[in-house]
Amino acid sequence: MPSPRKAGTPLQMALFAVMILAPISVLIAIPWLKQQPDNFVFLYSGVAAAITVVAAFANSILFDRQLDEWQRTNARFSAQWGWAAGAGLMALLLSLPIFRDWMVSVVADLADATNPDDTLAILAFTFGFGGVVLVQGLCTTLLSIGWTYWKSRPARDQ
Amino acid sequence: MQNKIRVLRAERKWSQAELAERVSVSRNSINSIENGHFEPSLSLAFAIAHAFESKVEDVFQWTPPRA
Repeated sequence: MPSPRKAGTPLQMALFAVMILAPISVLIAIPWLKQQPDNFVFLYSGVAAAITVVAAFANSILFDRQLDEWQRTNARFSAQWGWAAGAGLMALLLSLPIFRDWMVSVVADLADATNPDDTLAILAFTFGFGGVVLVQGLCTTLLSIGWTYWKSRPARDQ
Repeated sequence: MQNKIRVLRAERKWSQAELAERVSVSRNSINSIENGHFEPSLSLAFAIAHAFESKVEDVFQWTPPRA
């Protein structure tokens, strides 16, 4: 029965800073990255993404340990339905021409493309989004199986 | 599940925050449990009863669901 959540520890604050700074560094470096070879760009953004994911993962573990059962139930409810609602909303947005046009224009701006291929940009985004949803579903299933086995293990002292 | 947390708190002149601190949970937890919107774990139910120096069945009353 953990104690109620307190203010973030210095470690949590540091992890949060890392989590934010890594993607910001990519955004800031975009003009410079445009002049670099593709492989370097993928490596740089991949490393930044990995740092963000690891810091976020570590932070979520530390955060979870501070939650009491009411807060954990709240987190479970909001995460479960928030992910479903978010994925549904994104699918809905992708069906709106105004959103697709805006998305293509943002991508074109970032890539400095004067005549972007709309279909290619939309398909790439849709497959990326679909990939995230699929991998999340897969990870959820695997974690559920792992949790079931872990909680079904025999007692140690019997 | 019903409970007598509000009555027991009033007898002791404890606020929800004070009880929350005694059992190491958030005030929201106590508020939701007290109002019957959240059922505590066995561990927390025992901790709350212990804070009141009562038996768990004197604080929480389980009523079977109607068929």
